Amino acid sequence: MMLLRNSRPDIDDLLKKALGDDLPPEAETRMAARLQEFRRATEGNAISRSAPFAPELAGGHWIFGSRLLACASAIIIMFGAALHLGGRRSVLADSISLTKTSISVAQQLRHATVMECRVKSSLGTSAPAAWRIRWVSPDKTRIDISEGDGTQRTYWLQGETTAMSGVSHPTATYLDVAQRLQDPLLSAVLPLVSPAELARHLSAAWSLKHDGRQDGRAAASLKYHDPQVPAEIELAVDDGTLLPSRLTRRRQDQSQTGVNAAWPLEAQFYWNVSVDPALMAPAAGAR
Amino acid sequence: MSEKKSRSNRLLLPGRLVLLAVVGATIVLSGKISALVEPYGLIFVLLGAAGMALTSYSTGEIGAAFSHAAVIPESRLDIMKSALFWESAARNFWILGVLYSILNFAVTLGNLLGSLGSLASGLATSLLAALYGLVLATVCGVPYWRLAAHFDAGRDDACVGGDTAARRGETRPSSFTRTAGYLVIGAALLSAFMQSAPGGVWAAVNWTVYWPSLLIVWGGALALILFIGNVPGCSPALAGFALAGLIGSLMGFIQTLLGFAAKNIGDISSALTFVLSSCVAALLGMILVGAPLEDRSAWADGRGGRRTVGRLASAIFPLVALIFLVVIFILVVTPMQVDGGSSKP
Repeated sequence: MMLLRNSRPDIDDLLKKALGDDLPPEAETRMAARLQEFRRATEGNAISRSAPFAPELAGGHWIFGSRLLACASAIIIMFGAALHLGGRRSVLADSISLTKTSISVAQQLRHATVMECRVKSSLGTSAPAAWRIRWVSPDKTRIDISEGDGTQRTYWLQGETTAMSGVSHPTATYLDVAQRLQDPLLSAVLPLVSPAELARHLSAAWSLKHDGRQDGRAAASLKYHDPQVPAEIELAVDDGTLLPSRLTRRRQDQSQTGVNAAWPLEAQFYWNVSVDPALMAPAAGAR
Repeated sequence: MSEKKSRSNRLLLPGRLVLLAVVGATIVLSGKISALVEPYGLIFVLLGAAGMALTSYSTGEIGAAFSHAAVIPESRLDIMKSALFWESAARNFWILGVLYSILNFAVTLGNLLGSLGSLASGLATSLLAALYGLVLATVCGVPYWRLAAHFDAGRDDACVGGDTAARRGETRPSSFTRTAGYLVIGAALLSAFMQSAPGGVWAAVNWTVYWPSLLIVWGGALALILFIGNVPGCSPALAGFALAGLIGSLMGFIQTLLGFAAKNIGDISSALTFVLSSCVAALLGMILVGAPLEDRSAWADGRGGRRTVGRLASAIFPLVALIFLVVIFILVVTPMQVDGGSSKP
């Protein structure tokens, strides 16, 4: 396409005359005032955009204030991060730690394969009584009870089946559940007869108590309340295996006595130790 | 045709009443009504929403909004003002419901008296406040949608009018009303702490407020607000608090996962506390600072504001916080697996 350029000197002269910069002074003053007003409005908007809390503040005050606020926000964030990374503990974190440790201990108990538990009690009989509980997965328990006067008897538990041998029964005798519960020395350690039974008590029967601060690791000691007896139970936990190492039970009400009263106990746990399988079967000649 | 429409309108009210009666009867007959009652949560949500309304609107505007919910006004300015009020009320109910849920769950977790089953029932009870908040937000949504529909229908009108009224500074809440609003919010928070914590208000504050996360979230929100600056008709405060809360929560979750990897219960519990407290700090910031600033910006804009970011922040962050609450519960009750060792007698 060809570009045509026509030269019209008459029109050029007319345009030069019409668009010349020789405005009347009044018109020039008005135009300058309008421009000034526009500039002021534009600057005002810019300040408003940068002042989220107080748009009415203008100029250097706000800029100074915003710098101060920016510094303050950076200091606040750094202070918060330093507190958190410095290992500051909260009561809620301690509480979550206790709850999670208790749940984890119950779970670890359900995965145990062999347990031995040695229990001592100094009340309820004239002389200290002692129990030796051996449990093998999935469901075999042997309990040797030594009373203070030297009397000894042994129970074998497997599911609902209970066999007992002792001074009055030299050969093992099978008992029903009612007969089993008649022996207060056996009833006293029923929560400890198997890891599953202990886990059930930790999860459902006993209430976890939250008192005192922890050291920031997994809770080394858990405290429970047994509302049925009632008694206070303290469970020391190995923080490497999350299995109980020691259990102490104390009476909540020291004046309470009798068969249904809680026996103060001290139990020591040993896990995954070797147990002779022959010991876990009732003595020969059981009736 | 018009006769048919009139007959359908006449049937609408009885139809609604029957539907309401059926829903009510179903709840009552299910025998689970007591499980859906949490009076303290309801009191907190209602009291808090009243306080938040006072921080943003004058008593005259609140009264007018209630009357405009029944009768649509002629003036576009009145429609806009009332629509803004109902939208704010819906947002406030939702945020307050979720805040109470988190506060109550934190107190339950910090004060776990009883078996671990009580933790699950504690979570269920805590979630009721969020349910109340959502239901009340939906109720407030009805007048908002009606008013917004009328406002949009008249968009072609020449006079918008709001701009002029806003510039004249008509009927904005006085400083006395705002102070009263903040006092009512404080009373609502106090009542929430008092009823849920047997150890007293200070014990409840200790369970729910973890100062490092509070500082990080509020400092972060301040930085974000300064960085974004003020956009006419849209305050960045709501979005700033929501984003800072989200960042704090994600930091906490990353630390939680690292704690699981290191099999360290102490680290996990500290991180979960950080997440919970970040959500509380962000929601508190949204209530005390973000929502009033957002409402004032929308009013000053004179056209209801360009509040998409604020709307998204106030709708999504509480929902995310609620999901975090359930995730925290799952992480707390998930046992730590370690290799079993042996110990010799």
